[in-house]
Amino acid sequence: MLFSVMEYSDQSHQDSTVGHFDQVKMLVFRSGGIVFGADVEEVIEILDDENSKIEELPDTPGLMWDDLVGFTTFRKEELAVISLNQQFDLTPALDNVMGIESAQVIVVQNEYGYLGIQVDQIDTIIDLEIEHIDSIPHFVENLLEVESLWGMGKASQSTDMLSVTDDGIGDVIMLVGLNDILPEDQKRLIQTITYSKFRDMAETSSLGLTSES
Amino acid sequence: MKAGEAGGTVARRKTDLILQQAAQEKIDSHQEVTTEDVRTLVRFFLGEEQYAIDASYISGVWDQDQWSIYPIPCVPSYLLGVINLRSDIISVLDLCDYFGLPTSEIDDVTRIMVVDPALGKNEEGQLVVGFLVDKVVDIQPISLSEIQPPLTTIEKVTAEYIDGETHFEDKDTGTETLIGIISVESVLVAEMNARLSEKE
Repeated sequence: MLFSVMEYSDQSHQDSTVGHFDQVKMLVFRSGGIVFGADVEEVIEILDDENSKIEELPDTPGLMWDDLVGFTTFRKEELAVISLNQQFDLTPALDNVMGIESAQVIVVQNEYGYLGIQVDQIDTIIDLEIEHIDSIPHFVENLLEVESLWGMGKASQSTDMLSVTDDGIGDVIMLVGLNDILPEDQKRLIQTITYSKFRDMAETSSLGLTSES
Repeated sequence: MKAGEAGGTVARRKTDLILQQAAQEKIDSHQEVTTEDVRTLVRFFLGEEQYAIDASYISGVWDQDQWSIYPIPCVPSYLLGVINLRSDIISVLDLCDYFGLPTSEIDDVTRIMVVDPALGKNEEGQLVVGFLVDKVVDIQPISLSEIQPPLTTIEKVTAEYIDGETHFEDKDTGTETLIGIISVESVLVAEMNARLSEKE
């Protein structure tokens, strides 16, 4: 028994000397009162209040673009923006009820181009050590209705997380795959539409609805 | 000198044997009592009602100063979130909400009881969950003859989660309280099975 344990720790030591992942840089942000972490490699840019004025969309019940919050401009092109609160069915934090403009947008990139993800607040970037990352507990995994959460980061005295504990971040963060928030078909739909095309469709659709009723 | 040493060794061996045998008999008789005649129960409140859980499943009871609950998005409301207990991430279940009883605010008597249905077995740690309860009363050995099938309590909580009921007598007031004994396995297993079949 002791031997197998030692063998295991030997092996993990070898792995770490090869240096795959000793730690991961995580962007820490908040939405709906929950603290999330995302691998910074997924993050292209962060748009703050000033450079992320979002053109909100007209209400279009029944259309397939429920996930789309609006458009902003990124690198001189239209950027489709979704909301993490809406995707995860969260209530925006109280200090953020002022509205959509006060939020921040994380820009990610996938095969369909860029996508903006609106969150309540960006906090910091931390180095999270691999040994402080847990998988989702079995019990939670069975009840979880989304697939983008992939793990939980834990604070410990040797991580930087303790230093941000004072800001109310605490000692557990939910690790989320930013490009897994939307299903493939929604990504294609949302990231390939433009604002003018959307408006045309919304008008046609609401006209259609009016004439039916 | 030599003979004395040898004799001493023999004598010591004999006393060792006697002590060993005595200890074993104590263990045997203790096991007889605990496994056949008595269940050790931890009593607690859910709202106004009292329930109990077999102490052998409980690995610890933690008060409010020792945890913060971190909520998880997109889970049922009874799954309050997770806590970080000495670097172990543990899911927390609000038993009131889970049983459909009125829920109360977390205050200084609120406790999280960490339960592990596999405690002491090989697969220990696989299904560890924290139960949020309103107040822990005490831990008491209850003779099996005082535990009845759940006839009254089943009206309060889904019958499948209760595996017995018993009456506790309060020595100060002399009043008797009916207590439903919650089956830890059925709470956890029912939840797992329901969700797994839903996902398929």
